[in-house]
Formats: sequence, structure tokens, C-alpha cells
Amino acid sequence: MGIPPGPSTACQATTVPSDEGERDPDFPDYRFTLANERTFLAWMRTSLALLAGGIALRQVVPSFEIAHVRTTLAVVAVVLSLVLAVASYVRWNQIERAMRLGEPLPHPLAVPVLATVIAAVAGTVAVVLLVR
Amino acid sequence: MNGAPGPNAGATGLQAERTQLAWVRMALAAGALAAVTTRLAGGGPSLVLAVVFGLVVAAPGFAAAMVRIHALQRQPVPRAAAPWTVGLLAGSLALADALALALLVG
Repeated sequence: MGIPPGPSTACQATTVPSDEGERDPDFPDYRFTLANERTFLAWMRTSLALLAGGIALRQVVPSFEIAHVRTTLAVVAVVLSLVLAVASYVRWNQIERAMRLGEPLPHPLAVPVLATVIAAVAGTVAVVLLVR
Repeated sequence: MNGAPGPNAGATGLQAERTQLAWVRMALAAGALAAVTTRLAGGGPSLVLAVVFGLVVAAPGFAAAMVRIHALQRQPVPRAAAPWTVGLLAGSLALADALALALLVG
């Protein structure tokens, strides 16, 4: 069972003909460029959601019985949002560069970080709610 | 241009359209966060802070989205976004994060 070539290999074949028949070997295929842009925007929305979650945790959720847990979780969410905002720009830039040079796409480091921190926050909230 | 659709007819438009919609969702999310933050704030100084926070979150996002959507509508073959539009969006969100952190910790 062979795995079909993914975007990391396909994007190195730089351009496809447009409706106007234009080809520009200096620029990557617009489909990959736009996909990269939409992925960046998805990361930004994730970052915004974490920021909103942090603010909501502090402003809307009633205080937990264990002191400072609520504020700590809010700070963790906002710090993660800050890290993602910066990392998403860096990654967008890295991918644009890799596509122009025909290099392999960089590994998405933010995904495991995001999953781990969200799991930790959810686990903490679950423990605090059980203790209550 | 002879008006006849080519083999990729519509593909460029759909890709660009999806990207424009992604920018619109992003701007809407930023605007919603700004509105909710302002709504949650009480009166006085906290309201002023909330409005400043909302402007930091929403205004650059709206500006970047408008510039990018306009560019996508003009270009027959979409090009990569200008780094300043992407940087403006990421930078404003990072600034809003820093502001929120200062308010949470301080």
C-alpha cells in the first residue's frame, strides 16, 4: 500500500496553468500558497479562541475552591495564545520560503504543544471540579 | 480572453474565495472578542481598557483582512499575501495577548 504524495512533495512542482495560461516559475503554485495562508488564519483563530477562553475563565467562571487555580489557568491559556500567534507567523514564513525553494515543509511543532497544554488544562479543570 | 471556460475554470475563484472567507471569519472572530470584552467590562477605567484591548484585537485584523480580500479580488492568479498583512494580524494578536497577560497578572 503506497502512500500518495502529500503536499510536501506536490508543492515542489511549482506551478499549474491558470485560467489565463500564466506560468511563473519563481512563485509556488497558488493553491499551496493560499492553503498556507488559510492554515495561518486557522492558527490565528485558535490563538484568538485561547485568548477568549483565558479572558472568559477569569471574568465569567466562578472562582474554584483551590486558590489561584482560575487565574493560573487563564494565564496559561493567554500565554499559549501568545506563543501560537508568534509561532503561526514564523511557520507561515517558513512554509512560504520552503515552497519557493522546493524544500520539504517544516515539521509542525505547535500541534503537539497545543494538544499537550490543552490536555493539561482540561485535566486540571477536571480534577478541580471533582475535588469540589 | 474568448469567454470560454478553461479546464481549471472556477478553481482559482474557489481557492481565492475560500481564502477570502477565512479572512472574513478571522475578522469576525476578532470583532466578536472585542465586543464581548467590552461587554464584560464594568464602567470607568476597566471599560477604557476593554475598549483599547478591543481596538488592538479587532482594528488591525479588519484592516489586514480588507487589504488582503481586495488584493485577492484584483489578482487573476492569486499571489502570496504580503508579509506585512500577515505580520500585522499576528503582531496585533500578540500585543493583545501581552495586554491581557498584564491585566491578568497585574
